[in-house]
Amino acid sequence: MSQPSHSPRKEQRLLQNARREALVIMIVWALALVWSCLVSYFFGYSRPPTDIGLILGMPDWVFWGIFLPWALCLAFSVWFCFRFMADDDLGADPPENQVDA
Amino acid sequence: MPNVTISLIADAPLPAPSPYTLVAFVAYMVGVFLLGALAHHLLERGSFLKEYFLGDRKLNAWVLGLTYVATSVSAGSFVGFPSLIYRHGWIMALWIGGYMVSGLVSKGALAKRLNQVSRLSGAITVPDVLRDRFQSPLLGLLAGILLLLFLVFNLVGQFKAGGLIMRQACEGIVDTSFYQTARTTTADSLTVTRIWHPTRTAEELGSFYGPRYPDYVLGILIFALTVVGYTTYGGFWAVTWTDVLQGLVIVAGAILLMILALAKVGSLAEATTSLRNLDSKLITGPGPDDYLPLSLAVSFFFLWTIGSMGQPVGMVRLMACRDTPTLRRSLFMIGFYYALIYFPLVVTFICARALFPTRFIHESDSIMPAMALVVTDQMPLLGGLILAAPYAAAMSAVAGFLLLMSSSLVRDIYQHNINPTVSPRRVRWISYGTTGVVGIIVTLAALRPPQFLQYLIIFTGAGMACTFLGPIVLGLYWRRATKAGALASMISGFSTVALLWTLGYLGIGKEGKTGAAGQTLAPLYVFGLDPLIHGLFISFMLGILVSLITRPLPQRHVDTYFLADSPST
Repeated sequence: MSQPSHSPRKEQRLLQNARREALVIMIVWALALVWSCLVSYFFGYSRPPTDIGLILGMPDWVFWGIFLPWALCLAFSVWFCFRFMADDDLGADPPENQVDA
Repeated sequence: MPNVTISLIADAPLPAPSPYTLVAFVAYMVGVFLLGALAHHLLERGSFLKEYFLGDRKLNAWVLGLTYVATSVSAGSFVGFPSLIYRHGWIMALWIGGYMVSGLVSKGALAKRLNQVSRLSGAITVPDVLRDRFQSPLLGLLAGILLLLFLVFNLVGQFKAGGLIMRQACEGIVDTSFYQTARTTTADSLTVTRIWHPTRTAEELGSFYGPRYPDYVLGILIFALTVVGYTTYGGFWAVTWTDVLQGLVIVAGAILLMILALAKVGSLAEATTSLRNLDSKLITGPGPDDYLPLSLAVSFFFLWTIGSMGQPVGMVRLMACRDTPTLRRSLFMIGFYYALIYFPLVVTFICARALFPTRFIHESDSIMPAMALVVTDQMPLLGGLILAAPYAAAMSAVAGFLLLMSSSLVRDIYQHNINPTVSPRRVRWISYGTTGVVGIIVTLAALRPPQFLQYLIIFTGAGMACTFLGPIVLGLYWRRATKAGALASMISGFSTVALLWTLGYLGIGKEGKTGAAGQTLAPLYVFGLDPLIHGLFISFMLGILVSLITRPLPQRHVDTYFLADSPST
């Protein structure tokens, strides 16, 4: 006679999605940090002021090191929020008498 | 050829303050009061505590986005930040650059899971979440006490800014008999109560307590009455609805100011060229006086992103969100709000330096109101709206903090540790009373604000992140995290930040340091990095290590938070 089957207890889907989304966000954060700081350092800290040109009225290192990645992060957030991030059920609060006095 | 407009403005007298500035201000404050009164009606439905401190988890995308931004953008963003741009030039764009991902990091990485976990246990406050997840009343109590400690420091700073801005807004009516009566009454009251003396106090405590001190106190009283009034009366909904109004005023003020400043200078290119001619360090890194070495640029990127993630006032808003579509939409909006606030501010105050090359160099904190006056010379109502932006920023930050403090006192300390069986009626009046009393205490503290306030605010930001982020992240994402691990994470994060700031205050390790690292009240920057980075590293490392060597929490309890088929999910 076969034993009743016990399926292994699964991790919550919301938790898996939240972890996956947090990982992607932290990768983008690291890329933004490295890009901003390194580009600004090599083009803004290490060049004579006379060599620094202007793009849209700002020093070129500000454009490449801050303005451009900022615009890309905004574009990424559109994709992340409307394409990547999953909708999950957040659940409900426990009954009233367990929460409030 | 030099820009004629710029050279004409540089030494010209500032336009006289107009009473119409105050009209715009008053209109804004009437709006704030109306929203507070409307919010009060919502407190009649459902659970009072959940409604008063958490809005019954019903925030929609617009409200969530704007309240999150309005709370995180404080008076410092409109007073301290412009002052730094004016003094240090374009390097401040890198200083604030972390905001390009701040919304995503601080909200996106935590929101969904934090909201779900708080619903699982019915948590209303951040200490509540920690207490329930780790089954530790001690952890909840400690979190509540540390939260109170940090918030008191921060609130005093915001009240001071509110008082100074209100004083500026009233400049246009100082000659009226109404204002003079109010001022004289304030000055007399301060003298009778021996808080202030027209001549002696300034000699003892500095020029801040000179003849204009009663105007500051009057400003702070108006600010306190408004913000404490609507927060106490309307609770969370009053705070979030007024945040929406304030968020819109902040964004509109920042954009308007940029457009008018650019029109005054001619173009951004002309402003940048003026800065290059004035001092070439204003357009290169690390800026004048080596202000932002690369290590500190990295530190500030951490502070505005990971540091923001660890702020309990932001976490509470994430717990109040209605559902995940709301989260997604508000997350998208927050990124744009930050871009629409910070980028215009950088451009505006680069223009300000071009307009006033040296005039405000020793009083750069005045550059924001000065610019508002100059660019709206013929449009005082618009000037009032622009001046309302920093006031709105201070108000929204104060309201959020005030509610967080009273929730910590009522829920985390009183209800959980002193009187667990308190009746709903009593808890309602205790909540009103606590919010009001906390507001009054902070108002009194702001009458004598410490001089090194800006440093205290930076300390509290880093301190809260290092105290709360470790235990929260470990609790949300790691099932092996234990009670002892969470305590170790919290205590070590707090202690590291406190230690490095204390050593810095004592002058240890500052020999030969220049720029921000060499300033008297700055913390000790080990390896050139802000204490926040060391605090977070130690907090997470100890949290993990101590969890691994201590007994896990009961499996059934942990399953509730992590497994799909647990009874509560």
